[in-house]
Amino acid sequence: MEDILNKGIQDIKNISLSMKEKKLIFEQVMKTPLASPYAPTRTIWSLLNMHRSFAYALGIFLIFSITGGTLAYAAEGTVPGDLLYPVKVNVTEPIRDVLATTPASKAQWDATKAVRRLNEAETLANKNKLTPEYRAEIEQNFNKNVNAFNKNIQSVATSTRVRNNIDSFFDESINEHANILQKISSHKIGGEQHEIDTLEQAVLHAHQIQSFPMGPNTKDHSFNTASSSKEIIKHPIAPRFSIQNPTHRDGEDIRSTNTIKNVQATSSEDMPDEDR
Amino acid sequence: MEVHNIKVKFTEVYEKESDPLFRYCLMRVSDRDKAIDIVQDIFAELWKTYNTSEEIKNERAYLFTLARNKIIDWYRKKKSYSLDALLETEDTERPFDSPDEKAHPDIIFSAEAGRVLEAIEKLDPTYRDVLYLRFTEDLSPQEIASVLGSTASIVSVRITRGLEKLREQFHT
Repeated sequence: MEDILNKGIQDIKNISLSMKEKKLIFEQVMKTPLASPYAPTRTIWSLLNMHRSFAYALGIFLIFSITGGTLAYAAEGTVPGDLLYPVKVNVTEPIRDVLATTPASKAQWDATKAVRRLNEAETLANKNKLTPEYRAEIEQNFNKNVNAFNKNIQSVATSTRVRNNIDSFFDESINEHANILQKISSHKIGGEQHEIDTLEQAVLHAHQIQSFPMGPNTKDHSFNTASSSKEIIKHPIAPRFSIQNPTHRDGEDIRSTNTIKNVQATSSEDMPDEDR
Repeated sequence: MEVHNIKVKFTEVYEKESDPLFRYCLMRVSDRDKAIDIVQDIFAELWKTYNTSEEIKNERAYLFTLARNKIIDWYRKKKSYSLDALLETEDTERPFDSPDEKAHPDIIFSAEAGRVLEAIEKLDPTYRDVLYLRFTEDLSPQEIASVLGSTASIVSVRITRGLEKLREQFHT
């Protein structure tokens, strides 16, 4: 049997082209048209050589892209006082503002930005670097983000889950950060504690407007998130208001009487009949 | 490289590799004229490559890789042609170049060679090319790996197992 296998293999090896076929193939191959060595080759480098202005434009574009991308990436983790912080708030975030096209994505991004501000404040507070200037800057930006959030969330359809999801995200995040700020504040003394408390008031105020109604004077900030979310669902089109810097704290309601009236009145009007 | 040197080198490779490539193509396409066409295409491509000063590290592996790809292209074209023919004839007439024709119908072999080829055809496709390239064209496992896009160790294992399966067929 092994002989058959070996002989079979040997016979296959003996199959070959005839001399005539071999010669014919060779002749045909030699007639194959070849590209002239003098013909210009069109590569990206030759194009760049031909169009110098295009090369410069491409070079500049690449330099800006790479440098800009690196800067933007490096700026993401910065806090007020860092060299690249202005890049974060004045360049990368506005770019992402433009990229968010739908009301829902805008609202979500505004909520995320507000949370980013609180993260920055917490980072600074933990490093004992939350100066009045940085606190004021963060608070101003935070209020701006919350106002933008309140404005954009109004445009999101109330019949979709998206709105409830964004509301819940904002509500829970703000609640969580209020608690964190409170904890940080309890470990601080003097001026630094005052700065954290002031910021905490702004956060608290944003949360109160978000999950109306909540008493503003309580020192216990462990809000019931579930009830807050429930409140949002119950009042799906509850209006939101611009935040004024809440500067009072000790025993004084930080919301104006008119604001409370507005909220109560509109909420009552918008509630379904069976809920009134 | 100068044009004269290129031609000398090309002629050497052509003399050495044209028959093995022809055999390989013939075994796969079962049509002598088609096998000759494919061989011509392969060497035309090699000729162009030499003239563009591109370096080829292993000519044998390069040529068999080209052959394998061209055979695959040929099967694809043939398949689509056969399907078109089937649609046109509306099942009333069997197309001339049907895809289920038996392998090697037009080639005359010795009885032993025919039996070996028949046994190889019965093997799993995993072993078919590997065994053919190893025992009829004497390609090394490294060269076969390069042709099939695999590794030399995998090819070695397939050669051993394929040979066992081939022997089993001869002993039954």
